[in-house]
Amino acid sequence: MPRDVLLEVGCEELPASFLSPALADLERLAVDGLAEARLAHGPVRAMGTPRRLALLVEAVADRQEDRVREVTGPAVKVAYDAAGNPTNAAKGFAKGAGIAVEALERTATPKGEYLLARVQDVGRSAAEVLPGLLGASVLALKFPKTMHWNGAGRFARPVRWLVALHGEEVLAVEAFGIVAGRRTRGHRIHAPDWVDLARPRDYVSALRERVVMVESSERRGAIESELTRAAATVGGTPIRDEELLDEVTNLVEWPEAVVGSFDERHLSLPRPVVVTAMKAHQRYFALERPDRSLLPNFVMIRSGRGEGAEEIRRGTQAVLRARLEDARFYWDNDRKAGLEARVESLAGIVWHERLGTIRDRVKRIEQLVEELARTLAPKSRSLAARAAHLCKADLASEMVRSGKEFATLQGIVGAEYAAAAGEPPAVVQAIREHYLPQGPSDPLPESMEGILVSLADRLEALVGGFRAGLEVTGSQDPYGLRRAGNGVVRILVEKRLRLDVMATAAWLDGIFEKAGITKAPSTVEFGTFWGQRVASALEEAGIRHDTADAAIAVRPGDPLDVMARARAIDGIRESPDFEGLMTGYRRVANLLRSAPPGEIPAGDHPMAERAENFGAKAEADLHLETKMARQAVETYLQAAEPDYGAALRHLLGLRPAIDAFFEAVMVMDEDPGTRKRRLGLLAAVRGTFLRIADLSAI
Amino acid sequence: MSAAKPRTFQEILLRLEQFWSDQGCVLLQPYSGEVGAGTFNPATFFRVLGPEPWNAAYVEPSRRPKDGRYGENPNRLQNFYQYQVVLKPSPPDVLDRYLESLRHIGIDLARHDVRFVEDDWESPTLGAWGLGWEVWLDGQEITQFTYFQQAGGYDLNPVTAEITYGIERIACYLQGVERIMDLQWSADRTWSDLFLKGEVEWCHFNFEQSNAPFLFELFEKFEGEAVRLLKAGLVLPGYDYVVKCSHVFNLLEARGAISVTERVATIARVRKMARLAAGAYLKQREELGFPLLPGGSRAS
Repeated sequence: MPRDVLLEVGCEELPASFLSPALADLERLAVDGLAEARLAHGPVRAMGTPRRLALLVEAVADRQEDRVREVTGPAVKVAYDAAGNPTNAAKGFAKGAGIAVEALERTATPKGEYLLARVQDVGRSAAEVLPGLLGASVLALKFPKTMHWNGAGRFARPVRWLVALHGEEVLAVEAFGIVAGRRTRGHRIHAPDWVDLARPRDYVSALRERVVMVESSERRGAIESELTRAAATVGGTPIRDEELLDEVTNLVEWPEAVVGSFDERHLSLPRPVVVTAMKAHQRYFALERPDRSLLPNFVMIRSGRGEGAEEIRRGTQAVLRARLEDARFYWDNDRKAGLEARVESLAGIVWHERLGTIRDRVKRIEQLVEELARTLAPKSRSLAARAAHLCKADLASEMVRSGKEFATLQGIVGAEYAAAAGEPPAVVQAIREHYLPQGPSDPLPESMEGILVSLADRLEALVGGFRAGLEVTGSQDPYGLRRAGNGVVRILVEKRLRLDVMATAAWLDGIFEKAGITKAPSTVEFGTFWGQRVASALEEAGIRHDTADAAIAVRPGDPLDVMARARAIDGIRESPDFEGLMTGYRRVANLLRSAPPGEIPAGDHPMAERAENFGAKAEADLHLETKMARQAVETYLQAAEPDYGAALRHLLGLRPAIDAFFEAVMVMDEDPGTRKRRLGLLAAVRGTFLRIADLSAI
Repeated sequence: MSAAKPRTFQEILLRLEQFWSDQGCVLLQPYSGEVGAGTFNPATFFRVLGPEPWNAAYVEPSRRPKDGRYGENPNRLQNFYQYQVVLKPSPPDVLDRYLESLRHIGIDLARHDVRFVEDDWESPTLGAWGLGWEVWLDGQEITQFTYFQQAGGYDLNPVTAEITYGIERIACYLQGVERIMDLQWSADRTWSDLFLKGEVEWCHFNFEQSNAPFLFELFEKFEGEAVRLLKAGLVLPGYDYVVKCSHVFNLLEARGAISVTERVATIARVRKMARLAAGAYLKQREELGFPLLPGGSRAS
């Protein structure tokens, strides 16, 4: 008869962020393990709190399913002697497989005929199989950081007990030097005594009686209703914050709300500052009134229930009061000092020992913003430059320098200071937005001023990073350079801005050079790095890998342009002529690659030859076709919106001329003049293609 | 079981001493030199190394020169008190024991929110790290709890549990005062009566009057002495100078005399000495046959 299975790993408080991934892993490991072990089962649920990771599997079969396994043995030709009697090889194989020699079968393989044994695996009992399976699942759990405590294994925090039940029986699971039993514990403070579990299905209810809500989803729901209930008592609603909700769910075993309040005069602080003071360390929920203004109240979710709300309220209020008073102190001092003074004191904060102070960096950002605005948005130039000047001022503010929770508000708090100082709204917005985007799904800056400062901030960091020889390789991104590069690509592509980043980087390099900042040796060139950033954006956009390489190889600088060229290539790759053209193009490219150096003019060929010089008609034809193609391609490319599709379609038309040329003409002619002329013509063909892409990457 | 609330700071100390004495700890007195934390006391730094069991508790006056605020910030001091407990090996019920100690100093846990918030502890100067928690009482950090994984660069086994109580915080909480300065130390003396003048004086010294060139010179000399003594196998005298270096470094930092690059390099120098000290200690204990092991010769 199928029976339920329970596994509980009782541990000391796990970091909140470890819990959900560990439960997902545990469930997956168990499901995979059961399938592997051929144990039929019902629903599987992983559940847990900071103090326990549990697994409940319903209706696990009593025995593994039987199975017949086919095992291949020695070749038939060595298995029987001339008389047809089994050799030792056959006997040994049969013995190992546990069947009679007479029961051996044969199987035909490409290498000849081999012996085959059908081995009957009789399922073992679940009680035999489960301990190893469950133990292995626990030991296979991975955490970002682990420790040891008794020398008998590593885990995120010490494991103190194990429960493993199969129906009413204890399973002999052993891990971390602990033998599993049926004893668990309730809430650390409210129900600390050990309790015996009779059977798996009692688990959830037994814990609920002992002040533990073991299922995360239930806890999360309970927190939400507690929040709503508690907020209503002061006439407000909780400000929705999924991240905080997830974290608090994994910090408590039994959630109960406690409402607290703070001095109303702190509401004159910027809202993000007040909300951060509540959220960052304290994990309190902020509340708002029906008109969405902030209430001078908060909700704290305690772990536990019953008496003590008054004591807890008093304690939590005192901590928040200290934090808000710190914030007020910083806010007042910073405004008194003024933004300009803060900009100047950036000269006291080292950005990087080779790259100078943050003040130096801001000067470069200002210059770059002006340079970018010149072509991208002349009208935004002066406000963007002002925003660039102020964008890092908050890094010198006491609010951010305190190193407290408000340090996370860089940019946001800088905007608040700018607003308080009466800076124009566009400047305020640009300061607030210029740290965007932080990640691939982050919003982008909305205003043109914000876009300019964000681009300049990232490009300065990138080009400076390469100057200083910072590390960009490997799986880590310790200086955030890859993230910065991806941000630049995203802004340019999604905001449809044309910018040649390679040229801009070269311009910026000049600024660094002038400042006397020499280039440190680095393993990766900026161009390679930038090409990789563009490539990953193209991949995201669903462009074929080799198409992306072909488009990037010729001009990687302007991601919007690379994207357009790559899309055009993907567009003609389905065309029936494409493969034929590629064959011709590859011959052109291969010939050029294998030609002796010095025989072909470097780069593109001027095509100055006069038609009458060509001996063969095919050569003269290709010359003419190429000349016309070049003109057409240039026309398409120089349009305000280059039409790469049309240009490529035109190039497809070169195919017959290329084919005929190779048919009729021997390129490597004995006469050096002829040879050189023909190689020059092929270089011109290739050069025409290279205006769009390097198709040899395909 | 919950006892009545202690009325004074010194009563909290007495109760903690009684509690951990009953738990089998050796009660020690503070280290005689300036340290930034109880971890620097040889009773922790050395005793966590090697296989010998060790249970001890002590108060440690902890100097953090740059944390001073001339006695004006309600909870920032350049000299505060830690109550330090080390249990090696860490017993399986160590958290229960810790919670029991809170009851013993008058905290009725059922009426509060007690929370273990993840905290990865690291001391770059000691080459030590561990995993554990900040313990929060109603949102207030009252204790640092660490399972030591490494000290002086050496992996640790058995693992020590280190419990560091922030006694001023706990006392403020129990007495319902918001400023450390207002704490009732004894029945008739407050913290301010005893320490305020000194706190202000030390802040003037740390931030304005300390002599940076002299301190740099001291650092060099102390470092030389530490290395010389440790190489000569004089573990405790050598370590004394390591601790002095660490404190001189803290003074220089408070004075703003150390640049970012120097800072990293100087920390590395202290760490190197700490590693040397740890190695010398381990060698010495091994030569003694680890006398505190069960059945050892006990001739420590």
